[in-house]
Amino acid sequence: MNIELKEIVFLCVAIMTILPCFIVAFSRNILHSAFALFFTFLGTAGLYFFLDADFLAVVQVIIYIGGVLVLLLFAILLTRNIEDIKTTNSLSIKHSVLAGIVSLIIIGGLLYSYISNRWVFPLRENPDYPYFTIKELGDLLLTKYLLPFEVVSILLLAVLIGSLVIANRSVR
Amino acid sequence: MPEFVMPDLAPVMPEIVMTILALVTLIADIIFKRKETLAILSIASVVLVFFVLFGTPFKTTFNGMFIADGYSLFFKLIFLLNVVLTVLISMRYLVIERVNFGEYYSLILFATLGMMLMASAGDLIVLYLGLELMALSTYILAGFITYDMKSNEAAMKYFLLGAFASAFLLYGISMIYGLTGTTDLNAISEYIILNGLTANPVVMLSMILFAVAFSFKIAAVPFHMWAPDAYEGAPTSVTAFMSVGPKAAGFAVLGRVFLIAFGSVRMDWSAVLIPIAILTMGVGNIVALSQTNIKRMLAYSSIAHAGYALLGIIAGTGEGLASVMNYLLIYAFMNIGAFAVIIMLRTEGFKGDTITDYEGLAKSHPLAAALMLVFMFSLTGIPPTAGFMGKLYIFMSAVYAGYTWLVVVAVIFSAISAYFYLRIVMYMYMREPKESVSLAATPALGIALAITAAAVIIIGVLPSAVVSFARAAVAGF
Amino acid sequence: MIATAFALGALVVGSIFRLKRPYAEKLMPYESGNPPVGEPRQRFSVKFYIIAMLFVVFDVEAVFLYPWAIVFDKIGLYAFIEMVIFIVILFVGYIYAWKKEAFVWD
Repeated sequence: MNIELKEIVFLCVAIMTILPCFIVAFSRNILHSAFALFFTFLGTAGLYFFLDADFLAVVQVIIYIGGVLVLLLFAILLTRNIEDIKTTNSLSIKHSVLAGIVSLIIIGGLLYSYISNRWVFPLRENPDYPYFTIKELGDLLLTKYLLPFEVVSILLLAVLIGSLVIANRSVR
Repeated sequence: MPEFVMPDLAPVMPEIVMTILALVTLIADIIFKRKETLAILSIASVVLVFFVLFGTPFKTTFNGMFIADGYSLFFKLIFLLNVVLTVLISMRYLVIERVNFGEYYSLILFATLGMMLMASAGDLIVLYLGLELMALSTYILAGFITYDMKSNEAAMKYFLLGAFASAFLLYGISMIYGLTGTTDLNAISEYIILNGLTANPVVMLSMILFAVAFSFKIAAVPFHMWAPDAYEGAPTSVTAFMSVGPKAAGFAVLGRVFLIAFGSVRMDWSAVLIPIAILTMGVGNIVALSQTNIKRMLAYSSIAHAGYALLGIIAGTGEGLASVMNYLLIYAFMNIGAFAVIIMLRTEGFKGDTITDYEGLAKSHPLAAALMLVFMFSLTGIPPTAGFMGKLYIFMSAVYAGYTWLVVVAVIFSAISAYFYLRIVMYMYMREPKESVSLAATPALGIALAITAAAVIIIGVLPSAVVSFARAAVAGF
Repeated sequence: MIATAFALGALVVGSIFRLKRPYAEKLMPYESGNPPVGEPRQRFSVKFYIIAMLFVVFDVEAVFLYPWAIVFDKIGLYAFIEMVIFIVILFVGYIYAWKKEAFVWD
């Protein structure tokens, strides 16, 4: 029973991830697309939890939902005459056939690698996999990956300067 | 849990000093009203880093993530030189374009820091972060003239295609990590050899993805689409900066990743790079023939030069690598020199970037025309300029590695390139001036021109010092 | 469970079977009976965007604080110094943004 409930929850999360994707892609109103993206992001965070990637799930919620989506909405609201833009990706036969072939290749590749590799799922049953990834990540980040860690802060600083140079009138 | 060991900071000292000085420049921007102070400050910081660089021991630190060796030292010299020359030619230009803001200098320093990290990266994560730091700063610099639509367009195109390239790079990194379980370049190479994965499709796929990503960065055909628009629209000083620095950094990582991590599949990646090199030389030189804007023409020329330099990588030997480094150093001098002349023609109310603006320059400004002549000869590869020596060493290394037919192709394209370089010389010397062109010459610009012209001629006459330095630099690779 | 299904079901069924006869006046936004004036969505000030971008930058910084906080007591002083460097670099950016009046709302 316990396992079944988990599967039902997984199914719900998966549907919550995939269904809004159609709205994102096909909606004629860009604002609807942006809001549908919210559910996709949330669903992806849920999928990360199912993959036992707890830190990644938290990052997904904090950065993508809390930051990127808000930025996206502001960008839409800032753009002039966005009401007039009613076009969405036109789906011609040629494009959809091509997209279908590419998707089939990707699905086939994933299935092949799943079947041929016999991965241990869920990862938590693998003895090497840590119970909480966030702790291991912290250890690695502050010891082995110290240099990238500090470079990230310089990168963020460059982003900050860049955004002010591009957007801030009072810099000028 | 991995134990914390204090990493050896001595090999990273140039980067640490660079970071501190970039931060100081950023703060100084708030304090000083005269932006010329910042230009002097950034040149002073680069000179300081230069001295620190020579006191740096050749060591690997941060668990193999950071490699300080002769190879990275040589590339860092190119980057620092690039900063000095760019800053010298931008001081007056920024005033003319009415974008004299302090962020310019900090962004240049941050971009250079990114390049230095790329040259020293022994790990794919450091490589990626360095590349992003360089790229993001350069995108902003390309769009620095915010009121100019062309500059905005340049930044936008550069950003979109650069982000695309980053995605390719990340995909390649994730594939190779998934296969080998490490992002360390040496460990990847060991894993591939130990497990006999030289014909593994995942290795091939990730190698191709790396080749695509780096081709974007060095603007190799068919991944060059961004270059002409970005080079034409960006402020001229930034065009000079990004045609030298990011390109050299791209070659630095290309050399290290392909010769170390993918060293065991050399035949496969040279099979990928050879068509890219031929296309790059071909498209770059042939499309340049029909350009009317000199910045756009030099963009195609820079694409073509990336094609020549690829020959040295394809050769795959230490000699080939040394000739690439030598070539990139020479290219820094001659290309920034040419851009310095272009910048001189830009005055208030006069763009000076179409080729016809150079008509009769020899009559009105003989010195400027003579300097342009030197740089154009060097870009064509006519002796006794440095450009000739650079090409000679590259072609020689490719011939020794057994790619004679490729060199023949390169020489043919090189001959085609003479047409569009010498057309400018012809315009300057054979035609009458249409309108009086005034020059925006400053002492700083004069210094930059003196350095570049002197270097182009001295290296052209006495190449042995630079070449043996490059060879020594590769020796410890 | 059943109650939820019933509530949602009623809405869905209703939306399928209800009469839809839209015409111009009916689709108009309701502004106390008067014809609406101007576009419903005004252009935002660019200030919102700058604030959002700065927020994303410091958001990413905050994410790095979580793993640090968890392992802090084990690694000790070094971890503290590492994080101080990380934050000082971004703090310089903060001072810069402050002085460039990125936070001023006029």
